[in-house]
Amino acid sequence: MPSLQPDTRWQAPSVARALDEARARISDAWDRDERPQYLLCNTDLYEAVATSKRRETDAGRPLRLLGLLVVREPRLGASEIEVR
Amino acid sequence: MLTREENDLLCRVGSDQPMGQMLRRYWLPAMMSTELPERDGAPKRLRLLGEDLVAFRDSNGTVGILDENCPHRGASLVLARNEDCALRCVYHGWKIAADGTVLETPAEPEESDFSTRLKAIAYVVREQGGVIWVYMGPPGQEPQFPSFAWTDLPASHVSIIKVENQCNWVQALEGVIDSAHISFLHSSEIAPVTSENSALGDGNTYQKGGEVVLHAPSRDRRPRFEVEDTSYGFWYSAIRRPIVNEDTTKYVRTTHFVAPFWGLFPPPRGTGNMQAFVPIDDTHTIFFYFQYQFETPVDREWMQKIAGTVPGVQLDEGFRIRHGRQDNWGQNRDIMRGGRSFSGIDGINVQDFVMQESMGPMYDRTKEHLGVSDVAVIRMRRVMLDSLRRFQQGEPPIGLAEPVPYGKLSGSDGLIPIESPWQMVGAVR
Repeated sequence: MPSLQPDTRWQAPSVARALDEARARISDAWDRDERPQYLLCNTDLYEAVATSKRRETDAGRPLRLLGLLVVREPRLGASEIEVR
Repeated sequence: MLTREENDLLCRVGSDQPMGQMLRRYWLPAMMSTELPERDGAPKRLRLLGEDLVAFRDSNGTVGILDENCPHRGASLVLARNEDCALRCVYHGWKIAADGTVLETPAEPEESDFSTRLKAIAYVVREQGGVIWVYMGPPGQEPQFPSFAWTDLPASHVSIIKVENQCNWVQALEGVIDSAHISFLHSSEIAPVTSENSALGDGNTYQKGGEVVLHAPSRDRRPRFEVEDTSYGFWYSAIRRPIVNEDTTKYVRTTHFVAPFWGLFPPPRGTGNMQAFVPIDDTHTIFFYFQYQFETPVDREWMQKIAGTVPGVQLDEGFRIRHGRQDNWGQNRDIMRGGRSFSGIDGINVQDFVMQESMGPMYDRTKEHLGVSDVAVIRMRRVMLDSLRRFQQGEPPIGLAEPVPYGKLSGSDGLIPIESPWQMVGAVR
């Protein structure tokens, strides 16, 4: 068995975690009869999403996740998101 | 969507990959016992987690799973003689027992102690429930055995369907925890209750023009999803408006995800079912479908027909579906136009295989656009990636830190009062 060494890939912000958080918050918002439009996240997470969706941004389309427009919000922590 | 790095972390299973290392900590269903029907019979080639292996049943009935290559100079042990409680390589006669002990190296000088200093790569094997299980992790660290309900039932009460999927294990797994697709892909086979069949109640089967149809008491194609984490993964509900009494009741279907690749979804009454998606390598997966009845023997032929996995008819000798990308997986547009089939694909499980294989060998999740109905898919990825991160930091993988009540887990469905919590449908007691 190979030894378990810390993997530097974990230092990247987790889009998987952000998606899960966002989905829960969208569902909560719907239960309150709200329809959020924006997903706020810090710059690192924004860049991770943008890098993975380069094909869309290069085509001039806005950056979206779960249908929400992704917006940079520097005051948020690395793993925090907000929906509005 | 996932980043490319997350996608690789989630999907790749080689021994040098983080997920490959974590998966090796679990018991894996490797093959059906019936694939090794007799003692001293022909060894079978097996590939799991990117490793080429050989499985055999020795003279005592003990099953061994070894590295396929002879430890001498690598000849395939699938070609070996199976005799005298060991495999004997036909190249130079080396004799290797089920536990990997090298018993004889007959071409070496008599005084050689070569064999005592060598051991073939051999994995820990257990046979239970008609399945040969293997543990491929560090020696002596086998986890709790996953004693699902069917593993203790008589063989006559359990049906096991095995199919080799031509795609990565994660996209195959995502099918079983995605309740929303049932209303579309399987809509011709899992039909809403009508006035004609309503007397049967939910969860029963119904004959319609010679075709067997499962039915559900709802036509709601936009279920609401709720998810709750567990120590072994999560369980979630798809909550739909029922056909009758929609102001006072709700139709709830609960599904369990049990790490690392088990899905338990609602079975017909008096039965149980679950599926597993065991990685062969990065681009192939063994699909196991376990269906069982507690009180009576199962009708295997009927189950294979409904699944579309009749050996020799829809499946070839390697457990692969006969159709593929080259013929659009046998899709029949005549039956689509005629209204007999939504998908044009025959067999409930084959419909799933086709969707998953059509994504390509290992789907690039940077290209997808998830919706909120993908709740379980999203949660599974997060749970597994979070577990992987903790595993890399020295913690046990999810589900292995504390005992899991495997035998009590089951998917469930039911109509309940609208104000009741969904957790009352199928809660583990």
